[in-house]
Amino acid sequence: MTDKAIAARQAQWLRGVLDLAVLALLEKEEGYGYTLLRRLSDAGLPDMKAGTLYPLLNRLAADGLLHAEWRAGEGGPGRKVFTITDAGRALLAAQGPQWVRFARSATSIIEGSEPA
Amino acid sequence: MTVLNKRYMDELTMALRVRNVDGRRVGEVLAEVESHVAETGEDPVTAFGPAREYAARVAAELDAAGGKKPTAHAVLGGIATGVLTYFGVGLLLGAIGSDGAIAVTRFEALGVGITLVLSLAAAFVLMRATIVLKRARLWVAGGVALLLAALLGGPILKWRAGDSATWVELPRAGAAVAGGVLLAAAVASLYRAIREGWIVRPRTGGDPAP
Repeated sequence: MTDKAIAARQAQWLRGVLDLAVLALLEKEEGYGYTLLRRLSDAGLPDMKAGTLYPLLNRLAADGLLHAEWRAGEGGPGRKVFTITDAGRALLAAQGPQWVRFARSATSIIEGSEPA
Repeated sequence: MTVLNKRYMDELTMALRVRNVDGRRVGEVLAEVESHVAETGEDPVTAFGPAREYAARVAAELDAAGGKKPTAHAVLGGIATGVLTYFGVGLLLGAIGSDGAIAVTRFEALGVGITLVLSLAAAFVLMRATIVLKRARLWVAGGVALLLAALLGGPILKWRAGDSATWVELPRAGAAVAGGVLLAAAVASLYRAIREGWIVRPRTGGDPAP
């Protein structure tokens, strides 16, 4: 499989879980685009692009799951800081465990240790 | 801002505009790109992808969240403004240049109106053909078909309906008032479209675009 095909497959995995991952990170601490990219990278998702993350953040904000506010940057341009809303916390609480169960099942199957 | 970054921002602005993203949202997207590039030193194409593709992604996410007006809204708004202007100016000039009642022929009322609507629709579809990432040929074909219908529709209607028969007569004062009202509506529609297109940069401490 080529590098491009591998990257495309990984992007497909990410699409399914990125919104929950972003909500989970913001539940711990507010953040803006660049810090979230770094936190995702530190958490093991290093190839996330700004061009994927920013539109997603804005969609989550438009859906009422995040609150966005422009704040002055430190000596630079302003930053759009995101915080999770009650609706975002509720969605994470409801769908987070479902994803974990799904991921465990998929892992079991791939590792060949699924129950007979 | 470097020349290359400025070029990227210009391309992104244009791509977002033709995708009917409102000015306030365009200002936010530009500020996000500018802020990210300033902080990371990354090339905008590396970080966000080519401007047209990024604009398509932004518009798609806005579509999903219901934060972008449908293209039909802009098309219908443009057509309405054109039709209102055409009939408003026609009636007003007719009232000014006439001593008696204003005679409107069937061709003037219907044929020219239909031609105008088809021409504007063709212009919008052809403009759209220049920005779509897929099936551009289909959009070009649609635009050309509309343009042909606009060019041929008028003469055919004129030939079928005749240009000289009076269809309706309006008193001079009534035509002047109707023309003024239609022109005022056209100006209001144009102003609203321009205001929606103004690029507004976000203020720190302010809420982002709804």
